Amino acid sequence: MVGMAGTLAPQRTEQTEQNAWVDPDRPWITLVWNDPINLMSYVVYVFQDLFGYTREKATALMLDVHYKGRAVVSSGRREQMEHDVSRLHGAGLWATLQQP
Amino acid sequence: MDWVGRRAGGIVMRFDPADAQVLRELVVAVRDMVAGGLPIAGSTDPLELLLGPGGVGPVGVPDGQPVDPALARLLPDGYRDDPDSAGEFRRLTESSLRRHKSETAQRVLDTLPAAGGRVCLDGDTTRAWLSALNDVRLVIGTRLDVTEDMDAPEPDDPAAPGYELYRWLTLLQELLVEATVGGSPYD
Repeated sequence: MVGMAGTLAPQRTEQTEQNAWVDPDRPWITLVWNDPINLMSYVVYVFQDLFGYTREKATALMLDVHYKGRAVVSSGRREQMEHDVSRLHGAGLWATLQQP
Repeated sequence: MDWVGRRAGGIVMRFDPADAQVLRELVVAVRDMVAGGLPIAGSTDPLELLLGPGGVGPVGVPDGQPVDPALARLLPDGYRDDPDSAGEFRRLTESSLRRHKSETAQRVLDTLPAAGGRVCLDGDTTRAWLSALNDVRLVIGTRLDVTEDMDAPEPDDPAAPGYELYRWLTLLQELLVEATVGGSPYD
Protein backbone atom coordinates (compact mmCIF):
# COMPACT_ATOMS: atom_id res chain seq x y z
CA MET A 1 0.00 0.00 0.00
CA VAL A 2 1.13 3.55 -0.59
CA GLY A 3 1.29 5.91 2.32
CA MET A 4 -1.61 4.55 4.36
CA ALA A 5 0.08 3.45 7.52
CA GLY A 6 0.36 5.05 10.88
CA THR A 7 -1.92 8.07 10.57
CA LEU A 8 -4.09 7.37 13.59
CA ALA A 9 -2.29 6.18 16.65
CA PRO A 10 -1.47 9.45 18.45
CA GLN A 11 -4.97 10.93 18.24
CA ARG A 12 -6.65 7.65 19.13
CA THR A 13 -4.68 7.11 22.29
CA GLU A 14 -6.31 10.13 23.80
CA GLN A 15 -9.77 9.07 22.60
CA THR A 16 -9.40 5.62 24.12
CA GLU A 17 -8.46 7.09 27.45
CA GLN A 18 -11.56 9.29 27.42
CA ASN A 19 -13.69 6.19 26.87
CA ALA A 20 -11.85 4.01 29.37
CA TRP A 21 -15.06 3.27 31.30
CA VAL A 22 -16.34 1.03 28.47
CA ASP A 23 -13.64 -1.55 29.23
CA PRO A 24 -10.80 -0.82 26.86
CA ASP A 25 -9.67 -4.45 26.95
CA ARG A 26 -12.79 -5.73 25.22
CA PRO A 27 -11.62 -6.42 21.66
CA TRP A 28 -12.83 -4.50 18.65
CA ILE A 29 -13.60 -6.18 15.32
CA THR A 30 -13.17 -5.26 11.68
CA LEU A 31 -16.12 -6.23 9.48
CA VAL A 32 -16.15 -6.46 5.69
CA TRP A 33 -19.56 -6.07 4.06
CA ASN A 34 -20.87 -7.61 0.86
CA ASP A 35 -21.20 -5.41 -2.20
CA PRO A 36 -22.13 -6.25 -5.80
CA ILE A 37 -19.01 -4.78 -7.42
CA ASN A 38 -15.94 -6.26 -5.75
CA LEU A 39 -14.87 -9.51 -7.42
CA MET A 40 -14.74 -12.62 -5.26
CA SER A 41 -11.22 -13.39 -6.49
CA TYR A 42 -10.08 -9.83 -5.71
CA VAL A 43 -11.51 -9.97 -2.17
CA VAL A 44 -9.58 -13.21 -1.55
CA TYR A 45 -6.43 -11.57 -2.91
CA VAL A 46 -6.88 -8.53 -0.63
CA PHE A 47 -7.39 -10.67 2.50
CA GLN A 48 -4.21 -12.60 1.70
CA ASP A 49 -2.23 -9.51 0.78
CA LEU A 50 -3.25 -7.31 3.75
CA PHE A 51 -3.51 -9.90 6.51
CA GLY A 52 -1.21 -12.65 5.30
CA TYR A 53 -4.02 -15.21 5.53
CA THR A 54 -3.75 -18.54 3.74
CA ARG A 55 -5.78 -18.90 0.57
CA GLU A 56 -8.10 -21.29 2.44
CA LYS A 57 -8.80 -18.82 5.25
CA ALA A 58 -9.12 -15.87 2.87
CA THR A 59 -11.53 -17.83 0.67
CA ALA A 60 -13.65 -18.88 3.67
CA LEU A 61 -13.90 -15.24 4.80
CA MET A 62 -14.79 -14.10 1.28
CA LEU A 63 -17.56 -16.73 1.09
CA ASP A 64 -18.92 -15.50 4.44
CA VAL A 65 -18.97 -11.95 3.09
CA HIS A 66 -20.70 -13.12 -0.07
CA TYR A 67 -23.31 -15.44 1.39
CA LYS A 68 -23.85 -14.06 4.91
CA GLY A 69 -23.44 -10.42 3.97
CA ARG A 70 -20.43 -9.74 6.19
CA ALA A 71 -17.46 -11.34 7.92
CA VAL A 72 -15.17 -10.49 10.82
CA VAL A 73 -11.74 -10.30 9.22
CA SER A 74 -9.67 -9.16 12.22
CA SER A 75 -10.01 -8.30 15.90
CA GLY A 76 -7.93 -6.56 18.52
CA ARG A 77 -7.27 -3.07 19.83
CA ARG A 78 -9.29 -0.19 18.45
CA GLU A 79 -6.26 1.54 16.94
CA GLN A 80 -5.27 -1.62 15.09
CA MET A 81 -8.82 -2.09 13.77
CA GLU A 82 -8.90 1.51 12.53
CA HIS A 83 -5.64 0.80 10.76
CA ASP A 84 -7.11 -2.36 9.19
CA VAL A 85 -10.27 -0.50 8.09
CA SER A 86 -8.09 2.19 6.49
CA ARG A 87 -6.09 -0.38 4.57
CA LEU A 88 -9.27 -2.17 3.43
CA HIS A 89 -10.73 1.15 2.24
CA GLY A 90 -7.46 1.72 0.41
CA ALA A 91 -8.06 -1.55 -1.44
CA GLY A 92 -11.68 -0.58 -2.18
CA LEU A 93 -13.43 -2.97 0.20
CA TRP A 94 -16.39 -1.83 2.28
CA ALA A 95 -15.16 -2.21 5.88
CA THR A 96 -16.16 -0.87 9.31
CA LEU A 97 -15.03 -1.42 12.88
CA GLN A 98 -17.07 -1.84 16.04
CA GLN A 99 -16.85 -3.11 19.60
CA PRO A 100 -19.34 -5.99 19.83
CA MET B 1 -6.38 -5.28 -23.86
CA ASP B 2 -5.13 -8.36 -25.59
CA TRP B 3 -3.29 -10.37 -23.04
CA VAL B 4 -2.29 -10.78 -19.41
CA GLY B 5 0.44 -13.22 -18.43
CA ARG B 6 2.96 -14.09 -15.79
CA ARG B 7 6.71 -13.91 -16.32
CA ALA B 8 9.71 -14.26 -14.05
CA GLY B 9 9.71 -11.19 -11.84
CA GLY B 10 6.15 -10.07 -12.44
CA ILE B 11 3.14 -9.59 -14.68
CA VAL B 12 3.18 -8.70 -18.36
CA MET B 13 0.16 -7.22 -20.15
CA ARG B 14 -0.33 -6.00 -23.69
CA PHE B 15 -2.81 -3.29 -24.60
CA ASP B 16 -4.30 -2.13 -27.89
CA PRO B 17 -3.72 1.61 -28.37
CA ALA B 18 -7.47 2.31 -28.16
CA ASP B 19 -7.87 0.28 -24.97
CA ALA B 20 -4.85 1.95 -23.37
CA GLN B 21 -6.35 5.35 -24.19
CA VAL B 22 -9.73 4.47 -22.66
CA LEU B 23 -8.17 3.03 -19.52
CA ARG B 24 -5.94 6.08 -19.06
CA GLU B 25 -8.94 8.42 -19.36
CA LEU B 26 -10.87 6.44 -16.75
CA VAL B 27 -7.95 6.34 -14.33
CA VAL B 28 -7.34 10.08 -14.78
CA ALA B 29 -11.02 10.74 -14.03
CA VAL B 30 -10.88 8.73 -10.80
CA ARG B 31 -7.57 10.30 -9.79
CA ASP B 32 -9.00 13.80 -10.24
CA MET B 33 -12.20 12.79 -8.46
CA VAL B 34 -10.42 11.63 -5.30
CA ALA B 35 -7.86 14.43 -5.44
CA GLY B 36 -10.55 17.11 -5.29
CA GLY B 37 -9.84 19.57 -2.47
CA LEU B 38 -6.28 18.40 -1.93
CA PRO B 39 -3.21 20.54 -2.48
CA ILE B 40 -1.26 19.65 -5.60
CA ALA B 41 1.74 17.56 -4.65
CA GLY B 42 4.95 19.53 -4.99
CA SER B 43 3.20 22.81 -5.68
CA THR B 44 4.61 25.93 -4.05
CA ASP B 45 1.92 28.32 -5.27
CA PRO B 46 0.03 29.32 -2.10
CA LEU B 47 -3.22 29.88 -3.97
CA GLU B 48 -2.97 26.48 -5.65
CA LEU B 49 -2.15 24.86 -2.33
CA LEU B 50 -5.21 26.47 -0.81
CA LEU B 51 -7.65 25.77 -3.62
CA GLY B 52 -6.47 22.38 -4.79
CA PRO B 53 -6.62 21.12 -8.38
CA GLY B 54 -9.18 22.88 -10.54
CA GLY B 55 -9.97 25.35 -7.79
CA VAL B 56 -12.63 23.03 -6.41
CA GLY B 57 -12.66 24.63 -2.99
CA PRO B 58 -10.59 25.19 0.08
CA VAL B 59 -8.85 22.32 1.79
CA GLY B 60 -11.39 21.59 4.48
CA VAL B 61 -11.52 19.02 7.21
CA PRO B 62 -14.00 16.46 5.93
CA ASP B 63 -16.78 15.45 8.25
CA GLY B 64 -19.73 13.77 6.51
CA GLN B 65 -19.83 11.27 3.65
CA PRO B 66 -19.40 12.72 0.17
CA VAL B 67 -22.73 13.58 -1.49
CA ASP B 68 -21.77 11.85 -4.74
CA PRO B 69 -22.58 8.13 -4.23
CA ALA B 70 -19.60 7.03 -6.33
CA LEU B 71 -17.17 9.17 -4.32
CA ALA B 72 -18.86 7.96 -1.11
CA ARG B 73 -18.19 4.38 -2.25
CA LEU B 74 -14.50 5.19 -2.73
CA LEU B 75 -14.34 6.93 0.67
CA PRO B 76 -16.75 4.97 2.88
CA ASP B 77 -17.56 5.51 6.54
CA GLY B 78 -15.39 3.55 8.99
CA TYR B 79 -18.24 3.11 11.48
CA ARG B 80 -21.85 2.03 10.97
CA ASP B 81 -24.66 3.56 13.01
CA ASP B 82 -22.21 5.79 14.86
CA PRO B 83 -22.07 9.18 13.12
CA ASP B 84 -19.78 10.76 15.74
CA SER B 85 -17.10 8.08 15.44
CA ALA B 86 -17.58 7.94 11.65
CA GLY B 87 -17.06 11.71 11.43
CA GLU B 88 -13.95 11.63 13.57
CA PHE B 89 -12.53 8.67 11.66
CA ARG B 90 -13.15 10.56 8.43
CA ARG B 91 -11.45 13.70 9.75
CA LEU B 92 -8.40 11.66 10.67
CA THR B 93 -8.17 9.40 7.61
CA GLU B 94 -9.98 10.80 4.57
CA SER B 95 -7.19 13.00 3.29
CA SER B 96 -4.63 10.17 3.47
CA LEU B 97 -7.09 7.78 1.79
CA ARG B 98 -7.64 10.32 -1.00
CA ARG B 99 -3.90 10.76 -1.38
CA HIS B 100 -3.36 6.99 -1.42
CA LYS B 101 -5.95 6.47 -4.16
CA SER B 102 -4.65 9.38 -6.16
CA GLU B 103 -1.07 8.06 -5.98
CA THR B 104 -2.27 4.57 -6.87
CA ALA B 105 -4.00 5.92 -9.98
CA GLN B 106 -0.90 7.91 -10.91
CA ARG B 107 1.19 4.76 -10.66
CA VAL B 108 -0.99 3.13 -13.32
CA LEU B 109 -0.66 6.20 -15.55
CA ASP B 110 3.11 6.11 -15.10
CA THR B 111 3.28 2.49 -16.28
CA LEU B 112 0.63 2.45 -19.06
CA PRO B 113 1.91 4.02 -22.30
CA ALA B 114 -0.70 6.19 -24.05
CA ALA B 115 0.15 4.36 -27.29
CA GLY B 116 -0.50 0.96 -25.70
CA GLY B 117 1.89 -1.97 -26.01
CA ARG B 118 3.66 -3.97 -23.36
CA VAL B 119 3.24 -3.23 -19.65
CA CYS B 120 5.53 -4.98 -17.16
CA LEU B 121 4.57 -4.86 -13.48
CA ASP B 122 6.54 -5.77 -10.37
CA GLY B 123 4.80 -6.72 -7.12
CA ASP B 124 4.09 -3.21 -5.81
CA THR B 125 2.95 -1.93 -9.19
CA THR B 126 0.68 -4.93 -9.66
CA ARG B 127 -0.93 -4.10 -6.31
CA ALA B 128 -1.46 -0.51 -7.48
CA TRP B 129 -2.99 -1.68 -10.75
CA LEU B 130 -5.41 -4.06 -9.01
CA SER B 131 -6.46 -1.34 -6.59
CA ALA B 132 -6.83 1.36 -9.25
CA LEU B 133 -8.81 -0.92 -11.57
CA ASN B 134 -11.06 -1.71 -8.63
CA ASP B 135 -11.59 1.99 -7.93
CA VAL B 136 -12.63 2.59 -11.55
CA ARG B 137 -15.05 -0.35 -11.35
CA LEU B 138 -16.46 0.96 -8.06
CA VAL B 139 -17.20 4.33 -9.67
CA ILE B 140 -18.74 2.93 -12.86
CA GLY B 141 -20.57 0.15 -11.02
CA THR B 142 -22.07 2.63 -8.57
CA ARG B 143 -23.11 4.96 -11.41
CA LEU B 144 -24.73 2.00 -13.24
CA ASP B 145 -26.27 0.75 -9.98
CA VAL B 146 -25.08 -2.78 -10.78
CA THR B 147 -26.37 -5.79 -8.86
CA GLU B 148 -24.82 -9.24 -8.56
CA ASP B 149 -27.28 -10.94 -10.92
CA MET B 150 -28.23 -8.11 -13.25
CA ASP B 151 -28.86 -8.84 -16.94
CA ALA B 152 -26.97 -6.97 -19.61
CA PRO B 153 -28.99 -3.96 -20.81
CA GLU B 154 -30.52 -4.06 -24.30
CA PRO B 155 -28.25 -2.65 -27.04
CA ASP B 156 -30.41 0.49 -27.43
CA ASP B 157 -30.41 1.14 -23.66
CA PRO B 158 -28.47 4.34 -22.80
CA ALA B 159 -26.65 2.34 -20.11
CA ALA B 160 -25.36 -0.25 -22.60
CA PRO B 161 -22.00 1.42 -23.44
CA GLY B 162 -21.22 1.98 -19.74
CA TYR B 163 -22.13 -1.60 -18.98
CA GLU B 164 -19.85 -2.90 -21.75
CA LEU B 165 -17.01 -0.80 -20.31
CA TYR B 166 -17.74 -2.19 -16.85
CA ARG B 167 -17.66 -5.77 -18.17
CA TRP B 168 -14.34 -5.15 -19.91
CA LEU B 169 -12.80 -3.73 -16.73
CA THR B 170 -14.17 -6.70 -14.77
CA LEU B 171 -12.53 -9.15 -17.19
CA LEU B 172 -9.26 -7.21 -17.06
CA GLN B 173 -9.24 -7.18 -13.26
CA GLU B 174 -10.16 -10.87 -13.09
CA LEU B 175 -7.29 -11.79 -15.43
CA LEU B 176 -4.87 -9.64 -13.45
CA VAL B 177 -5.91 -11.22 -10.13
CA GLU B 178 -5.53 -14.70 -11.62
CA ALA B 179 -2.08 -13.89 -13.01
CA THR B 180 -1.07 -12.39 -9.65
CA VAL B 181 -2.17 -15.23 -7.37
CA GLY B 182 -1.67 -17.99 -9.93
CA GLY B 183 -4.97 -19.49 -11.00
CA SER B 184 -8.49 -19.23 -9.73
CA PRO B 185 -8.90 -18.97 -5.94
CA TYR B 186 -11.74 -21.53 -6.05
CA ASP B 187 -9.58 -24.40 -7.40
